[in-house]
Amino acid sequence: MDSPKENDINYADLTDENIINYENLIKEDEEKKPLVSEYDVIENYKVNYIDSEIFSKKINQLKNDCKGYRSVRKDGNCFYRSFSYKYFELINKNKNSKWSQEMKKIAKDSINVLTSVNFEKETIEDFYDFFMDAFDPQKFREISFVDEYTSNGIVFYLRLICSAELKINHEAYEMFLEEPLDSFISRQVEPLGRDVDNVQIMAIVNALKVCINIAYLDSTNNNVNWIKFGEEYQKDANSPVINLLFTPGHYDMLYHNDENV
Amino acid sequence: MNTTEGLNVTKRLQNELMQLMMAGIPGVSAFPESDNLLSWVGTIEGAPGTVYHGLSYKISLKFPVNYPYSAPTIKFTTPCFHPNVDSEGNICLDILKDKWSAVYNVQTILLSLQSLLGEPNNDSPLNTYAAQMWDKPEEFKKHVIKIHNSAN
Repeated sequence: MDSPKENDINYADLTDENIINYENLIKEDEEKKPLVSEYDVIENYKVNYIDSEIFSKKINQLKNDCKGYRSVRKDGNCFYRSFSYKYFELINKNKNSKWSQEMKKIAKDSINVLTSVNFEKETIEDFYDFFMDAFDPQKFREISFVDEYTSNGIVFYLRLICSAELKINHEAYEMFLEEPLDSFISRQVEPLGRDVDNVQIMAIVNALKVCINIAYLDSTNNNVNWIKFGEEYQKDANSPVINLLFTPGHYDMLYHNDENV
Repeated sequence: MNTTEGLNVTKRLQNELMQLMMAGIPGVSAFPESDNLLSWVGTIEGAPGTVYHGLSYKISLKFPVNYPYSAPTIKFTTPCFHPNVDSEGNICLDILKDKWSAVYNVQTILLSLQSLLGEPNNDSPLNTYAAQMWDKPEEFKKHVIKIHNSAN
């Protein structure tokens, strides 16, 4: 079944039940898609929104910097999934570089960071193994983002990394929260399917010491807006950066013009 | 169910069963119902000092194939008079709903349910009658025993 097309929706008849039905249709449709799509050129990127003229103008603007994209499933884990795919892809592409070695070391130590904030080793080991396995290029290609169980394990481990960083350096994040930290973590960070806010992005950037550059596409007339998180971790112009694309409610991956695909 | 997923959840539940049996926690236990590892039966004994002391409750635990990324469905199968349990045995407990995390396991669930018995959340009752009566322990206990024994 296809998700509803714009002209299938009868706006005069938007009852709660209809809205839920449309939502379920979209959800079913999403679940048939792969977790991470194949690479495609940026011209083919589709934004599923009503005012598409403005978005196609912005996709055109993006072409100045980016040549391609990969989409991830819209299941509330899109930031974590996009980020982790790009992270492992960049590290594995040039696995003997100094940067890749540093990244791997931080990832390897992460289990000790997590146990230091009272996660039990036995409880988190399986997720840690899924995460570390993705540094093996073959497992990365064939299992890590193909098998849903493994991929969700990686997403969950990244959520735990975020959670631990929020706890350890809480004074850096608490001022951005509207609820106590513990409650924020148990409601917004650890459960699968919860979207990120800037706080979670900052925590992941700081925990893994990596730079993320996000292109924000919204429905305003302004130009595409790029925001960099963790610029201090981009030590020189050659250090890899994780490029992501944000459209209202969703994150996907971007490939910069000078990136090898 | 995709095969790897089935194997993963099976492996996870086998490990949990092993850990649970080795831990031997007093007052709570759980075991697969048959050779289907996705369906367990658990027992929770009311803790000393609570109105449930001396009573034992059976629960059913149904695990989804993407467990632990989704919470299991837990129900009381022994009738339970409690502010957060309805007449069908459904339970209102945050960690089984919007606060579920994949770091939780059968052991955490059993212990959380055991403490829920003695410390209900009276702000979001499923059984308002029970919630209103909570402040009258003697009357409450009579109901608890009557409902508990209605199963036999």
